[in-house]
Parts: sequence; C-alpha cells; structure tokens
Amino acid sequence: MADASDTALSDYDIFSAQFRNCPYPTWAAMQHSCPVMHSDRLGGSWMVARYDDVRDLVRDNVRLSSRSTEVGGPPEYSGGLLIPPITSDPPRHELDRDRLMPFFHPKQVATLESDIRALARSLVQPLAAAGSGDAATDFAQRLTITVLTRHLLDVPEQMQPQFIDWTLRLLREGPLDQSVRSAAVREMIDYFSQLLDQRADGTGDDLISYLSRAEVEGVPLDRKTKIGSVMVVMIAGADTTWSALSAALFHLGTHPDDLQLLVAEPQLMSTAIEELLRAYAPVMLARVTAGSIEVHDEYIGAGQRVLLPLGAANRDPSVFDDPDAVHLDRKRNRHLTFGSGPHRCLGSPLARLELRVALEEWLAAIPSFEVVDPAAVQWTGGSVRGPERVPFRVQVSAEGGRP
Amino acid sequence: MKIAIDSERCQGHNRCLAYAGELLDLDSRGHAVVLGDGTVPPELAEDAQLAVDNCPEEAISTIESASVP
Repeated sequence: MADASDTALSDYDIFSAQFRNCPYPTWAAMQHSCPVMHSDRLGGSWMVARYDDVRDLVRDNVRLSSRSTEVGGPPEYSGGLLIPPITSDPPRHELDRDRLMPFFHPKQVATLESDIRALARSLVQPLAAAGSGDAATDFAQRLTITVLTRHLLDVPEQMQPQFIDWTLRLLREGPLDQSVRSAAVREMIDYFSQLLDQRADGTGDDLISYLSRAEVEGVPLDRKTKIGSVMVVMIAGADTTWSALSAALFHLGTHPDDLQLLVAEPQLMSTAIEELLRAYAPVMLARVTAGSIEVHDEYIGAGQRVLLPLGAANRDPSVFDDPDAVHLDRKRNRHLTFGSGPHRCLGSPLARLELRVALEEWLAAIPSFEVVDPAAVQWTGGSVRGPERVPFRVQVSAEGGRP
Repeated sequence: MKIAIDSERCQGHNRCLAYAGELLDLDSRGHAVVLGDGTVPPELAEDAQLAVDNCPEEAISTIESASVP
C-alpha cells in the first residue's frame, strides 16, 4: 500500500529546500525500506543511508575512486578539480596525505589553541555587547576563515571575503552550474599558483611555502599537486568547520535545556562536541565506482557517482539509541562525521579544537541566547550542510545576571 | 585486561585519546599507539571500553587476561 514515504522515495533532490532544510525523513525512510536510491539529477547519482553501507563504502578506496568527489556535474574525471589527498587514489593517496600531516598532527594543531581562543574572544565580545547578531556569518565563518588565512596559509586578511566567495561558488553553486564552478576553480588556481611562485625561494613555515619547496625523492613535487594541496585546505577546511560550528550554535540557541546544561556543566564539553558533530554532520561525500559494484542487490555500473551522506549514517537507529535526539552526555558515539578509512578527514583535530574553543568562548561571553525565528533559517545543501544564517539575540535574566 | 590497537585499521581519529589518554599515545603520523604493554588497571577499565566503543575504525580491542587474580 502506498504511503507518504513511498512517494518521498521515488527520487531525491539534494538541493531541494525540503532536503537541504531537513534530510532526515528521507534518510530514515531509506534506512527502513529502500537502502539504495538513484537519481537522474545533476549528472546522476546513487545514494545509500545505512551506517554499515556508508562506512563500508567510504572506507573502500579500491572499488570506489576519489578521482571525482563533487556531488553534481559530470562524474567522469576530465581535467577536473585536483585536490590531493581528497581526490587521490592508491598508491598516490598515502603520499599526498602524509605530505600534509605535519600541519594537522594533533600535537601541532594544539599549539594554535591560545591564538584561536584570542580570536574567538575578539569575535564574540562585540556580539555580546551588541546583544544580537548572526552566529554563522559574524562568528563561525569569520573564525574558520581567519584560522585558515592567518595560521595555515599566511595570506592577507583582506582575502577573507574572496575565500568565502570561492568556497560558496565551488561547493554550493558549482554542482548546479558548471560555468560558476569552472570560473571559481580557475581563479583559485591562478591565485595560489602565484603565491607558490612568490614563496618558492623563501623560508616561510606556512603551508604554501612548505608546499612550494616540496619534493618527491629529490625531484620537485609536480605543480598541479602543489596547487591542489593548497586548495584542498581551503576547500575542505572552511565551509565544513563553519557549518558544524554554526549548527552547534543553532542547536544551543533553539534548545534552552541543552544550553543551560552545557553552561552549568562544562565538563560535558567533550561528549557534547562529539554529539553535536554526530547530529549535525555537515558532509556528504561523493565517489565514483571504479568497476561495477552491487549494493543490496542493486547493480551499479562503472563510472557512476555514489553519494555517501555521513549525517545519514550518524542517525541510523540500528547503531545509535534515540538517534534524532541530541544527548550532550552520549558516551558511546561512533559517528562517521570525519569519515572512515584512509580518507579520514586530515583536518579533524583542527576542526575539533576550533569547535571546542569557539563554544567555550561563546558560552563565557553569551551564556544565554536564542535563535530568532529558527523555522526561517535556510540550510545549505550539497557537499556541506549547515545553517546559512543563525540570527540570535542575547537573553538577560530579570536579575541582570546569568539565568 | 589489556588494550590493543590494530595499526592497520587505525586512521588517527584520536577519539580513543579523549577517553584513555593514560593508556595511549600518538605516533608521528598522529595514529594511536599503546603505552607500555597495554595493561589496563581496573580503575581505567571503563575508559578503555569507551575508547573501544568510540573508534570509528573498530581498531581497538580489549583482551581479558586469563589469569587475573
């Protein structure tokens, strides 16, 4: 007998307002009765939603290639976007990943804590004084982009709007309009190419200087890999982190009990961050089948795009109790927000540090706030999902102190 | 009880370090390694189990010693 969920499962449109704003009913229905779906939209794709399927496929870099990782557009690799190690397959992948590791080793990342804390404080204080603002664009976005420009790439702060513009055109408009995507990619390549040239003779310790001097067995690293390895940090490290942080603040600003709990019991911060990462996992990965594969008796031919929504896996009721509810003290939480397998997010230590420090500083300055008109907030879609805006106002208790 | 890490499976998520930092450390690639012989004192048994239960790679296991008094 046909019901509403059957209708919803005839197709999916990851850029529809319905799916962007709330993809969970679709994923829940897929987990229940239709674990593999196909859509003809945006060059065609397959999508899975169960934890085990997402985990197994995301780990499998033999049957699934990363040569194309965009959620829309032509799935075949045709001089497309090269951003190693995200787009690298074995045996190159390990080399491309390990080259960047010195910048993302947890012990290296930890040295940034005091700088990130000072930055978070400088961003949140004016918002606390003003009593309102946008937690996404005034705080999360600026924090994330500043860490990238200042601490990883050492580029002028005036470039920040341009970085945000490139990220949005590539990841949000790109899958829907290939000409927008191509122009953004071309501009990024030109910009980072120049910087690599300028820094090749220097001694800088930023990521661009480091890559400009990189070699493989005594031979300079090829130029495309150098440029792509700079771009990957911007593409993978910006939108993702600011979306996770914006979503965390959206949640706290719409769930006063959780906000009060976290303010009252700051020792919950560690499990709270993992829980917010689980519930609002921003990333939908895409891969291309190397050869034909079979998933739940569904035949998927070679060269087909497969979408791997990490947020769907994280709400699979067969793995997580009460998956749609946020429990800030959830202790058993094997979420896949940073992926699994060889392509595990290299920047995850930095993302976690930014989230923790940003939330600590936010709650210290603004312990009580609410999101204004949360139902009107639009969520971004495609590769990275998060609230586009988080308009909030500070709440002050009757006594003028903390509630 | 002992804690063990399958270095073939570990991808460096570092989830285990948050729970069982007294039992584990990081290598140069940011992957978890067991400190000493991995013996888990009774007071850290729950932490060790949480490290197991939170690993996205299922790379960690605990092994009951046969002859614990």
